[in-house]
This record gives sequence, structure tokens and C-alpha cells, in this order.
Amino acid sequence: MLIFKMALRNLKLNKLKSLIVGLIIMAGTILAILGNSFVDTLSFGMKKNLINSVTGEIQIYSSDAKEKLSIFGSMDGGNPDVGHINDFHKVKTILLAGVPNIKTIIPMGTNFAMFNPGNILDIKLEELRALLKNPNEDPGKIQILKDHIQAIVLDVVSGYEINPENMSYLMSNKDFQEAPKNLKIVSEKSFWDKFTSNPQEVIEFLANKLAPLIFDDNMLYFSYIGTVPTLFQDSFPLFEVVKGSNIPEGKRGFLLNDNVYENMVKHRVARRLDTIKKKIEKEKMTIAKTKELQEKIKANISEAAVIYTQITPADTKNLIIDLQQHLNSQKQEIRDLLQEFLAMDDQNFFQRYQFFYAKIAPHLILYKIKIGDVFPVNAFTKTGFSSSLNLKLYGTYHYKSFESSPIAGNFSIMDMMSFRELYGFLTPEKRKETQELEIEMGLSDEQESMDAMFTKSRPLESEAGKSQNLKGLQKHSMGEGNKKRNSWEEVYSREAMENGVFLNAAILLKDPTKIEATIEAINLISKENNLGIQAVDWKDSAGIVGQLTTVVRILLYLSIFIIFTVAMFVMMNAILMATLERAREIGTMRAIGAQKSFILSLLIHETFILSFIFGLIGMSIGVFIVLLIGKIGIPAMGDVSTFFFSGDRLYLTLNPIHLITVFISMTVIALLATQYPAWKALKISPLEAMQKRE
Amino acid sequence: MSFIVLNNVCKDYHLGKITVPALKNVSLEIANGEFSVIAGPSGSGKTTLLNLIGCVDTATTGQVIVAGADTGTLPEKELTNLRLNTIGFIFQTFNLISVLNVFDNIEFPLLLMKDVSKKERFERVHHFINKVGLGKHINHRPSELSGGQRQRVAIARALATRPKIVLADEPTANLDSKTGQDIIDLMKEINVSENTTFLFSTHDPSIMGQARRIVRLHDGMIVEA
Repeated sequence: MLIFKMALRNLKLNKLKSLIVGLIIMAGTILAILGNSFVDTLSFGMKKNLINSVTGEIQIYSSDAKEKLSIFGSMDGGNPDVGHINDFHKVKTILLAGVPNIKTIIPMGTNFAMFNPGNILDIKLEELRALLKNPNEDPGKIQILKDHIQAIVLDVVSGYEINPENMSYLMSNKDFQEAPKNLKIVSEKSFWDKFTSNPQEVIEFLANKLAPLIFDDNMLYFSYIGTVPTLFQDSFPLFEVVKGSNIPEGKRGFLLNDNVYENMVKHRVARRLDTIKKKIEKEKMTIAKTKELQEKIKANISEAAVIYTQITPADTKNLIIDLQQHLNSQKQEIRDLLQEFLAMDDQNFFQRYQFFYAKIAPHLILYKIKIGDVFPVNAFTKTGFSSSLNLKLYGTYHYKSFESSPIAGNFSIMDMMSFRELYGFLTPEKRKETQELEIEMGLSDEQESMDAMFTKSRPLESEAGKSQNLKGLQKHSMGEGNKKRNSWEEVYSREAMENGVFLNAAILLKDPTKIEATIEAINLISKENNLGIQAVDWKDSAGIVGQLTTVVRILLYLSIFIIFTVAMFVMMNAILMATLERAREIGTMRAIGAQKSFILSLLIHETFILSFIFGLIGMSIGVFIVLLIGKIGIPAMGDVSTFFFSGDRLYLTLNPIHLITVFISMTVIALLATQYPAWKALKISPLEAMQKRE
Repeated sequence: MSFIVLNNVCKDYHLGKITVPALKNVSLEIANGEFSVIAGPSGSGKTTLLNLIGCVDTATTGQVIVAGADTGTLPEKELTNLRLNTIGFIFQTFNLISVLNVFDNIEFPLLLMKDVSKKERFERVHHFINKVGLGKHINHRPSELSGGQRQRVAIARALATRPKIVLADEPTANLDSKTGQDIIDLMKEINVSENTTFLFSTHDPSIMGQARRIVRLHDGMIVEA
């Protein structure tokens, strides 16, 4: 009691130093509570997002996998080689029967796909081909399209005349060497006269000689998950269709990630304008002050051509008038007017944004693939061969709460049948189709050719004749062959979709708290039944993404450690000064009979009292801030953070265990800081009491 | 046997490379109940002698025997216990614990003694508070007291443990002459009434004259005992 009283009074006597130490303890406590709460919330948010969007609580994949499963790709950006498992039905039946905690198993596989819609001339020529096939087509409509094509071609001609360097990207290409000759041909009136008499010849000339001269960066790449789309939708609560509909039960098809659709498939100029609008509105950026936005404006100005080449000459005339009025400009050329229009600033941005969507966008190919389109999806089989399928785009989807974050894969969704086929596993339809092709091409040894294409990495050049035919076969599979087969119209039962090869599968649990035990049970059953699978938790299966919060937590602890170390030294200094100022008092106590242990106890009491009072205050403030942020949220900075924040704002949550650990840690740190001053105090001799000074 | 015995005690201090002899071959005995003064000019070794007897310092050579124990051979913990149980200290600058009031300051050494009950503590503290005439200042902090009052508290604190000997290093040096005389009178009275041995240093001739024995030091040597 006396020690406590003395400690308390000593602290009161050394108000300033006690306050310094106390404030450090308080600040440390607040910081640690906020930091822990922040990382906890991130971690919890990420877990919730991953489990409810794609990984499930557990993932299974082949136990013979060469690499670890990493759903969001490896460090090099590719997909790890996780092997495959042949019979989903068997795995599903045995696991559901043997592990009661499993609720659902969703077969999956991930791969990359490409799609090249061609440039604007390709697209318009294709449209014209289609119109010409119909003998009853409205000649007016055909003429509008022809005029448009002519306008596109003449724009290429004038671009070349202004500066031949514009086509320098073709330098190594033979098209470039022939360009002057071909451009001369199309600039003559006689060439266009043939458009009426012999349109097919003109179309082919333009497709082969002119279209390659147009810069083409329309290739789309996307990673996708092959799965049973309806099962996927029913199993993952964050999944939400944004545009169109999900791939119907049993149908083949494609569902693009809405983020990919808006950021890669959408018209370049339009998506830049969308981004600028978002940055101005959400991140309070200004064009005047932000280089990033200025770059986007510049890029739009330099790419005005991607607007006007998509607009028919008739529509262009009207747009010129509208633009002249809107800009109050006397310019006559659409190119000049568009460039002036696209040179937006903070004052006119929103007005022009509206004008763009009201007057310009309706004439544009706003999305390279429209919902409902059937398009050739090109992918690579597991052995590296190119494969292709025509699939229908049913719609787009996103994950609720982190809609705009590019993390978590930006996966698109494909039906399992098409995934297997593109990945090089034969479906009955594909087998039949290839058999027909082989007969047509004179290949007899079916098994051998199939093996070469889909499973073995046997060199194609081994037998010249066969290799030629294989190349032909490959070409067929790249799209031309698929025209014969309306694969997108094929319908399968749920069983057919599910049964067969899969690369990995998500497992959802009835009791999500028993992840570890369920993993053990799955691995055991796999061994007993020779299933050849291994189970990992959501975090491991997510690869790098799964480790992100661990990294954030390490960084937090590291910074807390550094701050606490500095704080400890400041505290130590303050305690030391307070102690040495009392040297004579300590000496006196020692002289009149106080043991060293008494002095130590006195100092420790002082530290404990400070830790308790200021730790408690710090804890209260920390809890208050956490609860406050829990209500109002921290705004996400940029799209990436929306994944971790589970939305536009992060709402902190409180973990009572952290309160206790932080409190204890702060007390331990304060005690550590007392060690050196205590050591010094214990060295104070009773002789100090005899010093004659007042 | 005398309560305190010093045999051929030397004490050297080291100031850098220079060795300064503070006591040279001092032999002395102090018996129970003495009221003695150590006299001598500044630097003659008075304080050093008191420090050695008070077990807060050890001799360079020679023996210091306090209550039968050779202090040079005792570990620090036991020296501390010896101080607590046997010796009372009165300092020139009073050395009260600033954060404690009069009662707590006097009670402090009693709390360090494990075998004194709460009741006894209370009685002893009140006894000595009344003895030094500070009954009305029981709750005052040292900063609220005069120099003489503080020294009275220090005397009460020194006596509370019922020590065999009270050592006082120039107890009146920081007091005016009247207050100084009051303090000496109080010590004399206690010497008689409590049968406590007093050994104090001073260079004030008027105080020296009141002691029953004068140990005179000069340049670290006893010139009169």
C-alpha cells in the first residue's frame, strides 16, 4: 500500500515526465488497436470475399499436381500446372458420402482465352458480306455501308499521305512494302465503281490488302473459369449478373466479368471518359492537376479516328452540325471537330461527357462483343496447342461488394463442357467432329492424331504428310472448322456438365468453422479410395492474393515494432531522468534500510500505474475510433482496395482479444523501458543520501 | 564489548589517479548510551567516519565492527538490514521523502521492518511525533514544514525503529542557532529518556560543548577521543 501510495505520488510529482510516458503508452495503445482492427477487418473481408466468390472454404486438386494450386495465377502471371482429375462424378459421390460437413462441390478449371474481333474495316466488310448474302436486302442500307467502308479506306489513304510514318508499325511486314501501290489503287474512282459491279472482288481486296494496314490492337485476353455456371451462381453468394443473363442450365456459353467488359471490351474513348468521370467524382481529382487524367485526354485526342471511322458518312454530316453547335466552332472536318471536342477540361468535362453518350456513342461500336453475340474464343490446350470454339456471350457478372476491383482474378465464366474442349479434353461432339474432319482429310489413325493434338507433346514435324494434315485440322479448330458446328446451341444435362475432367473444385461447407478438420477428412478419404486429390484451404488456394493480408499484417507488425522500439527509448529516457532526479531520495531510502527490491518494486509500480491509466484511456479512445470508423467507414483509395475493403468503404470491426493483447503488450513494453532506469536506480548508493546539498 | 569498534581503519578516496586518504589508521570505541560528538574542521573526515559506522560505506583497510558484526565482511543485503534494525540516521539536509507526509515519513522504516505490527507502528509513530512536538503537523508534507520541523521529523524517523545508535551528520548545520539548540536539546532528552546512543558530527563549538565526549579529527586522524 505504501509503495502504491509512493508510486502514485511520485508520478504526480513528476507530472511532465509521467505525462510523456503516459501519452506514449496511450498513443501506442491506440495505434496498436487501430492497426490490428484494420488488418483484422481486411483479413476478414478478404476471407469472406474469396470464399464467397470463387475459392469456397476448401479447394481440391490433383495430388500429382506439379505446382501448387493458385487460382489467381502464379507470380509469372500464368496458370500453374495443377494437373487434372478425370472423374468428377466419382470424387463428388465419395466425398459427399464420406465427409458430412461438405455442402457443395463445384468443378472448375482456369485458363486464358483470346478473342480478336478485327479492326473497323474487318468488321464493316463482314457486315457487308452478310448483307450481300441476302438477295432481299434493302439496297439503301447496303449503300450506306459501302459509303462507310469507302470513308474508312479514304481515311487510311489520307493518313498515309499526311505522314507515311504513321504506318511504321508495319515496317517489317510485306503489307507495308505494298502499301503505296495498294493505297494508290483504292484512291482511284474506277476502283470504287467496281463496288457496284463486282462487290465481292472489292471486299476481298480490301480485306486482304487494306485491312492489315489499319493499326489493330483489338485483341482481347481474359482468364476464365470453366464451371457449371448455374451451380456457380447458386453456390457463391457474391456472384451477381450485371448485364444479360447467366449461361442457362445445360447450355454452352460465356459470361464476361463486368470489369473486363467495361475496361477492355468497351470502346477505348468511352472507357477513358468513364475513368476520368469516376476519378473526378470519387477521388476528387481534377484534369488541371492530375497527370494521369491529362494523359487520358491526350490519348483520346490522338485517337479521334477510332470514333469517326466507326460513323457512317451520313451520320457524320449530322454529327458535324451538332459538334459545331456544341463547340461553337467553325471547323468543317469531323477529325478537327472531334479533336477539339475531346480536348476536355474541368469546366466542360461533364457537359461533353453527356454529349458524348447522347450524340456520339449511339453511332459507335461501344462494345467489341455485344451481349448475345456468338464469337470465336481462342485458347490453348494444356499441351500448348491452339484451340477454338464459337460461344455465345450471355452477359456480364461481378462480385457484389468488390465490383470494381481488378483483384480476385477478373475471371470470366465458361461452361464446363467448353472449358474441357478448349483445354484439350475430348467431348463426344468434338470427337465426332474431328473424326469427320480426319476422314475428309484422309487421316486414318484416329487415336494417334488425337494423342498428338491433345495429350502428347510429340513433334508435329515427325511425319511430314501427317503434320500437314494436322495443321489443317488445327486450322479448322481455330474457327473456320467451327462454322460447321453450332457448338453454342448444344445442350447438356447437369450430370453431363459435371461429370468428366476437372482441374480443381471448390468445396463449400455446412460448418465453415471446421475447415482444418474437413481438409484432413478429405485427404484421408482420398487416400483410402485412391481419388488422387488433395485439399487446401481458401487461403492456400488463392496463392499470392491469399498471402496479401499476411504481408499487410507483417508490415503492420513491423511498423508497430519500430514505433514501439522508438517509443520505448523515449519512455526509457523519461523514466531515467525522473529516476536520477530522485537519486538522493533513493539513496536516503537505501540508507535507512530499504532493500534494492523495494526500490525496484517502487519503479515497477509507477510503470504499472501509468500503463494501467493511460493504457485504459488509449484503449477507450482506440475502441471509440474503431467503432466510429465502423459506422462511417474509410473510403477506398482506388479500385484495388475495394477488394480488401469489401466495398467502397472499410468499416472497422473490433476484436476484444486484441484489446487484451495490446494492453498486455503495452505494459510489457513499459516494463522493458523501466529496466535500464531501474538498473541505474539500483546502483544508487546509500552514500548519495549523505551528499551535502540542498 | 563496545557497541561500535573501529580498529586501525583507513579510508582512501580515489580522484582519478590521485588517492586521497580520508581516514588514517583510526581506532575508536563507542559504548551504549553515549552522547558523543565528532568534531573537526571541514575535510577532517567526520562524515567519512560516520559513513563507515553507519554501514553505508566500507573501510579500505582495518575493521569496523557494528553490533558485533564486521561490516567489511557482510554482504550488501545484510548491511542494509543492519542499518534498518540497528542504526538511525539524521542528515544535515533532513532527507525526508518528499511525497510522504509527516506520519508516513516516520512510519516508512517501520514498514520496511517485517515484524512490526500495524498497531505497534501506529503507536510508535504517534509516540515519536509527540516526542518531537509535531502532533499538529501529522498530515503535513515536508515542503509545508520549516527546517527545524523537518529535522524533528527526521529525528522521529531515526528513532522509530528503536535503533541502538543514532548517527547525525551535522544535524544543525542548516538550522539557525536557536532551532539548532532546540534539536540538540531534543537529542539529549531522548538520549536520556530512550537510552539511545547518539553520535553526531559538528564543527559548531557551542554544540561541541554539550556533548559528553568529543572525538576530534584532524586530517583524517583522531587527535582527541
